[in-house]
Amino acid sequence: MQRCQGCSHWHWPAVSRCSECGAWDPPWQDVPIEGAVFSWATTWHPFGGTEAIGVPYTTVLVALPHADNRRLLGLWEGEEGELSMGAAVVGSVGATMVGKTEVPSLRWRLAR
Amino acid sequence: MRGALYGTTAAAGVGLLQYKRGTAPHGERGLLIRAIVQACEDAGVDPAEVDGFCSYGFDHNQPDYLTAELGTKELHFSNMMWGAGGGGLLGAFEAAAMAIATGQAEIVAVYRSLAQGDSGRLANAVIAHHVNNHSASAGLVTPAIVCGLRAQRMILEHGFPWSAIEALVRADYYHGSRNPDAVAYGKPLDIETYRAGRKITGPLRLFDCSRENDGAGVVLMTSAERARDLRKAPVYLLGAAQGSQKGWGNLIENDLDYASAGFESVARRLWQKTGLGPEDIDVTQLYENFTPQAVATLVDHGMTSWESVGEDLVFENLIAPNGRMPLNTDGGNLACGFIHGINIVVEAVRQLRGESANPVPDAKTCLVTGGPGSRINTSAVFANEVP
Ligand SMILES: [Zn+2]
Repeated sequence: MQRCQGCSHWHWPAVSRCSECGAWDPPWQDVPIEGAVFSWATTWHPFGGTEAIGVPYTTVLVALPHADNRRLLGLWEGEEGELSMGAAVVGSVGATMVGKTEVPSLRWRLAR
Repeated sequence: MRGALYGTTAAAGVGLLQYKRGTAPHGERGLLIRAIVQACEDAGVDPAEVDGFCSYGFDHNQPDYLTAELGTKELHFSNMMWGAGGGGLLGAFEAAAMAIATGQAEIVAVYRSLAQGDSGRLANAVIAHHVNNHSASAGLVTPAIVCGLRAQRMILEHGFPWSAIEALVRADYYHGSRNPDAVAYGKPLDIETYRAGRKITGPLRLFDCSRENDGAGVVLMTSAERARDLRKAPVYLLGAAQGSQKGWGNLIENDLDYASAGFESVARRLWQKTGLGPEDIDVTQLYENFTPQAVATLVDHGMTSWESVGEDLVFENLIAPNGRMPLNTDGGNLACGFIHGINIVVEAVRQLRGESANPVPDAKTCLVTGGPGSRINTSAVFANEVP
């Protein structure tokens, strides 16, 4: 994730200028892929572009405490019933086919 | 201090053509030309006199494609409102009013036209605009899923009762089933059918989602002064506002105040510009892309609060003629039709003229809100007198 060298503000999505202090090109910093469930949605309707995922699937939005709660999206690897607001989760990097392109994607599951 | 545009312009004519999806007898442009001519006949002006054109939501029918058929004497103003999808709806009216009030144009058509197979679906245009690889890799490929994710957070954070959503859907279908222009005319929806609707995404089921149909809608705007000399009684634009607050925009689901529809600054400025408040509104036309976003729109505008949504949003309160806060009196996007929201402004005008299929007695003011949860949001107040 990007963190400003001038004012320590976390940025996501990526920026070329810090909105808070005006510094250019904030550097990237490693952040553990762990956080708290912010929201989720299970999709049942086979919208175009989801063929490679297959319905039903659950999209989860996770707030990262190590990056001032900036939120990242990902796919949920557990049962929908396990999800609750604020649940502690950990992620890993996988891949999703989006059309004909393989795109890195985050996969989340409950932390133990 | 009211806004400089307060009551300076008015809607003088409306035109609306609606067909089931994929059944329009003309292409988008053909539909639009007919709707513009209809609006001109309604107002009693020559279509050749329309000298300004405003649209929103990626409409593809630029004025230069229209002038040959309208016989436009001179084209003076052409404007496309930024902001994905129907979020820009009332921004197009604000632009028209600014053009008229400053003498750039005299009669401006504000419009949206839609025919399946011509310009493609709005969702696709919004997708092209919004979806990036990070979203797509998580299956977030369409506005419905974005709204499902946000609706789920509204439930978690505000804990509002789903009865409010059901009341809204019932009110839409109640009004739509009584409106001869509506897709749902003669087809009331019972709540069991709603509840049995198949799951789409998150808490959204089939009847929570707007579905596009073919059609075109036009509202003809002109100066308040000129409107008073035309065929129909003027419906004044008291004010419109557009934009977003800090922490809202192209943020891949990082928007602050996430469990809202994003109208905080827009609503505040709308009330400032009009000198009115939620208590002054007699009837509301809400853009419903998805039902939870419509409820959040009402909260954002102070028409209710998350704490009192369950008490305020009950069926009897929402319907004409006797409801305390009647809304979507044509059936709204769910039951009247969805031409990316232009229909709800047409209904605002008809309602304030006393021409609605579901009249609200003595209604003087109407709040109209654009596509909720958009990165750029818009809303407006119309009235049949300038208080
Ligand atoms: Zn900074």
